[in-house]
Amino acid sequence: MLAKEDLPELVTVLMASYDVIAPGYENGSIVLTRITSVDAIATGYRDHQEPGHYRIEKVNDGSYFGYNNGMESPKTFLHPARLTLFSGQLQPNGDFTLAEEPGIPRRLAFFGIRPCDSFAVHVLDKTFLDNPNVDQPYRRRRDGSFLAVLNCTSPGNTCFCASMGTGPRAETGYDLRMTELTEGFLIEAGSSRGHEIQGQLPVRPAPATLAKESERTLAEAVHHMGRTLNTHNLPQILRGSLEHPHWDFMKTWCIGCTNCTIVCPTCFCNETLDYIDLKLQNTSRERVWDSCFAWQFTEMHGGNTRPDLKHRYRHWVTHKLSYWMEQYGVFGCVGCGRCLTWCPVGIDITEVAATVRGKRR
Amino acid sequence: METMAGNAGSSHHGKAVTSGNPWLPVPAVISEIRQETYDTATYTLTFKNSKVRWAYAFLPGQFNMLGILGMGEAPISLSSDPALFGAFEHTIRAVGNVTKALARLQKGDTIGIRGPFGSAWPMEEARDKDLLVIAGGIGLSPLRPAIEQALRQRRQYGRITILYGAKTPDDLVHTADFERWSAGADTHLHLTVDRVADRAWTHQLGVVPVLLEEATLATARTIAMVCGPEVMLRFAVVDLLKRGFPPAHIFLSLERRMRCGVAQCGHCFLGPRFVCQDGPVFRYTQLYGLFVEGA
Repeated sequence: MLAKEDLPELVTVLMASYDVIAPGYENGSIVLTRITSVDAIATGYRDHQEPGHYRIEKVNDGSYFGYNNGMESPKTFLHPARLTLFSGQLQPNGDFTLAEEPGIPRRLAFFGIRPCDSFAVHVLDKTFLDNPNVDQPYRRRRDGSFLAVLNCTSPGNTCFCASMGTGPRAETGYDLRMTELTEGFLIEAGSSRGHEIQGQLPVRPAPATLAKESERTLAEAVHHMGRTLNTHNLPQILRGSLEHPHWDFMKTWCIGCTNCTIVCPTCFCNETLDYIDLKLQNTSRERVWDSCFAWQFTEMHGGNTRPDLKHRYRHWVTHKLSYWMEQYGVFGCVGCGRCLTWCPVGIDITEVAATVRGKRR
Repeated sequence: METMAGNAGSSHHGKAVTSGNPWLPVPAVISEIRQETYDTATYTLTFKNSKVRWAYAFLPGQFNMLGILGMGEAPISLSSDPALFGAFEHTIRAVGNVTKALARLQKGDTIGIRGPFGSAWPMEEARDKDLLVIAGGIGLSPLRPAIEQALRQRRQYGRITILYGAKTPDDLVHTADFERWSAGADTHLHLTVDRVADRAWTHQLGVVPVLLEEATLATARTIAMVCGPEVMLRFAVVDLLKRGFPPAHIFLSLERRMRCGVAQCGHCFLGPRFVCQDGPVFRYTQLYGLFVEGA
């Protein structure tokens, strides 16, 4: 275990080898940020999340991490919202020389991300790395990155990671996992690099009571999720429900704002934009996040293959909870609850899935 | 639940040959331009870099991302015989921003290429069987590599039947190939157009599937390869199934908006299928339940 007052030590050790990304506090919400000092980490806050609702307050109740996810996830750093794929020089006859984007100067360590987000990184890996054409910008950021995951002892009202099998305890794919308990942090390494970091900390053997408290707290946390989602046969049910009348209803509710896809830790869709200066010499191609809720997303000269918001909303839900499983062997939803919290009209994907399941034709 | 189906026609997985970074276009020079119709031309291209030029190979049905820097890219199927060495062809109809810009280019100009991407026509599976090629409009271009390869390896295939239609006689592409495509033994080319204005037309009138009436087909030992506007594909599939074609013997090439070509941008989804990587050529059974409005 690590004493509470020694937690900054862990961050300092990580900062010696990595650029540390950690939850900070900015403009009334938790943000993931590249920190340059331990003080930048948000501590002593408690948030309240509901569909379409986010509020946060300072409580100073002695706990470091009384809050849940903010709107950003590791996606922001591994698959940036805007990235220059290449830049170069263009000749009048169209010939060109290009330079690839260089990647990042230092390896990344994600500190204090939750098990749902840690799982989401592995989901993103499937798109960008487990592919015959490896995405180089993603690989440059992901290679050698460190996941210091914080187990969730107090899940929020929009959380349902227990339903999706990604939390509240990180089971695999972490380098270090931490559980905040009354006596201190239970620290467990999940990789050789995790052991290496752990070895540099003033840790002492965890008393049996602490391990017990951790077990109990995390077992209880499963029942404190604000939401549940029944995933039994869900991929098959959704695939067979493309004509369900609920999609017609959802298009009258959803406003197509794309917030859900922006805050989703696994949504990877992107658009490319070409830039060129007025001399037609210096050019670049940028990759920016895109959203299947944008009407141009499927536009072609012969027409739009998803012309209606009904099709676009249905596609997103069906992709997350059905097609993803067929494509990658996992759900595209990790149960982080962001798409509920940050939906301006408070749509709850767990309710939508339950309705389609319940009234399936 | 069914597992993700592999590529329709081959084990080739559309790994970019042009660069180790699949996002990076490499320069290719236009060595020839042949006007096909009033809005369509065939471009012969050669990679500037000799290493890429000789390493590059593709299978019938695959596509490249063609781009003009500062303008953008468009996915365009390869339209030449894959055996053409050191060069390849694209047949492009000027309908969008990028294709209209491509249409303004001249011999000697350079464009950016990434590829080849996607799945291929089932040339192996069709061996010793009859081939039925059904094409509408510029949909003939993605089938041209398959036709050329089959004619070059003529003894490996049975009867070859090509059913091709367009809006008007002026919209037919690859007309210079027609004589050669119908000259050989047991090789048949049937043509139709939707309408004729003011010229002699000795072929059929009507949409492409009407040509199925006049073709002699042994459905049980025929592989059908279909490409054209999506509405034509839907009608062609219905007609083929009515004629007793096994669904697994029907292959379709689909078109979607694409930005990456490598299953990473998400624009081309048809249900769980990445049209760019699982397709563009699909066995019809891979698309069961997906030809739903807005899927």
